[in-house]
Amino acid sequence: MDNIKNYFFLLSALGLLAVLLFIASLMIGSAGTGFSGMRVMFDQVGPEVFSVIMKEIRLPRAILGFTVGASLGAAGAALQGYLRNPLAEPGVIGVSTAAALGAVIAIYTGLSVVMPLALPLMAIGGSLIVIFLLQTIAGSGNVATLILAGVAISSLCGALTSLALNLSENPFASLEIVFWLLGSITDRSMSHVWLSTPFIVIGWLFLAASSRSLDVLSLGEETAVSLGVNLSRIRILVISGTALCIGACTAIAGVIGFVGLIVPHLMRPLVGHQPSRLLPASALAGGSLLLCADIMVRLINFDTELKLGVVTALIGGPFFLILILRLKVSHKT
Amino acid sequence: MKLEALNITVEFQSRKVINELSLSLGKGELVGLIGPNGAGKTTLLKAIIGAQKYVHGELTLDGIPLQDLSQVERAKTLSYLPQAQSIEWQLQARALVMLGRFPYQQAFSPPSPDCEYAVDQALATVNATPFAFRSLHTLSGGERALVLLARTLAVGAPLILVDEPIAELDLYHQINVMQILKDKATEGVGVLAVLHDLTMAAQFMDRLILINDGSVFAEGSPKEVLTKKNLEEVYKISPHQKDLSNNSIIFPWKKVTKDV
Repeated sequence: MDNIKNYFFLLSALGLLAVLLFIASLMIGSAGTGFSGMRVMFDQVGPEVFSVIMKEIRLPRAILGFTVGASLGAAGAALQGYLRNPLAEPGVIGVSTAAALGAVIAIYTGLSVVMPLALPLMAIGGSLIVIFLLQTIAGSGNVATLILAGVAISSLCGALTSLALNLSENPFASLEIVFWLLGSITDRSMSHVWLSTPFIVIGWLFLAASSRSLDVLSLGEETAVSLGVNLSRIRILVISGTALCIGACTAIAGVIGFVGLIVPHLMRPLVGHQPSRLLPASALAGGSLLLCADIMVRLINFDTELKLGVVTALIGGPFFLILILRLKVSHKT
Repeated sequence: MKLEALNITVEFQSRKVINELSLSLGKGELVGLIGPNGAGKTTLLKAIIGAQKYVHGELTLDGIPLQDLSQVERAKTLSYLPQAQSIEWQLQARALVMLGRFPYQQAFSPPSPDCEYAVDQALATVNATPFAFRSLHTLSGGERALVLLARTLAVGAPLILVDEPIAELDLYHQINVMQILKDKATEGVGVLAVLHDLTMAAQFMDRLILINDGSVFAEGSPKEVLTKKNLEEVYKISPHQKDLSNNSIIFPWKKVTKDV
């Protein structure tokens, strides 16, 4: 019983953290930071421009920071639970590379210049194709087939992305592709938010619908079947849920690594290792982590702005190594 | 509640792993499924719970074909404990037992008082209450086996299928688990247990089904089934056997060298 209380306390604390970081994210930017900075900005630019800055520049950035991070956290948790593999992350089933490929094609062909929304739309298209491919290839197979198919799709899309870079005659397009691949939520507008949110929310609902069955899957597939779990339903929910929300996130923000891998690891001991409880906790923590990283990107001043994906990988890599070392120690004792 | 399997045939790449096998399991029965490795015992259990397709044959519950039941109804009726189960996450013992109540739980709502009660009962039945709130990876092999058994009992199903429940346990826990299964049968639960320890099978089981190469080789009371001739023919061993008043002690002694 105490268990449930602790769990709701954890969720409330994470929720509060996310709200605070969201507000902090709104208050930081080149035009003016903090209460006093925003006051000065208000006086200088007047109420109309102030409202445009807040609504059209800072608000979409804060919203995307949360939704993208939450999607990465939730999808990572769901995939680790479904594949029963602590190393799984949204990239493992090839969704993010496929979405990236879609976006790269949009940049490469110049379509994104003609029609800015072509980039996210093609990226989402890429991830939808992956759902179809995975269902066809690994539809009736086991978890190992799914991972192998995901890895195959992932490397193929990676190769095609390299091909696009290789063949690109326009150095600006190449640079844009490379920068886009690094992952960022700078200069996104509300239209990006409107475009991505439906996919992201549907993806979350799919993942949420699978969550209780993920608990039962920790007993193994056969026992899960004996308890009335429909394995193909769960596979469809997890794959489509991940593809929808991660596809939409990649479409908007590029490839952001490590969040989907690390956040579930961080949260797992706090929720008693239960996959269903890990899902909402990882979503909230992922959202907070990405908001936090995006705030850091803006606070650290280099001549060029650091890309969000670079920062998450820079923090994530060493952090993950420490986590593995600690795991190794606790296994020995 | 009576489970009947009629002429079940399971094929792996056109090789018949189970061949026209029939058996039944009734209320309060304690039935042992014995036979050498690869005889098809585990495959048969998987076919019954719906985790293994069979090419023909029929499975019925009180005369109703199993495929006519919903997955949830089936889950409430047949509880299954696989052999040597590995659990990926370090779940708390009680949370793991609660998974047995999955067929009864509503999505996105906390477990009902009925579920909490059933879980506490299951934990008490196997004497696992003292370590119910410990994480699974801190338990000994014996304690873990009890928790997994409690998970199987928590379903509250009238029929239980257990696959080698005592294979990795010390002597005390072996007898403990067998006694729990026997008590369940006395309460009216039908238990079908895959066993390798023939002395245990003889001591605890009401009825034994000896399978060889996917079909029933012999069936009946332990005395009728565990004959020297059957053991030599099916297990290819010559046992040392000591008959007691109503069962027997069987000790595998040497391989059969000549053809029987």
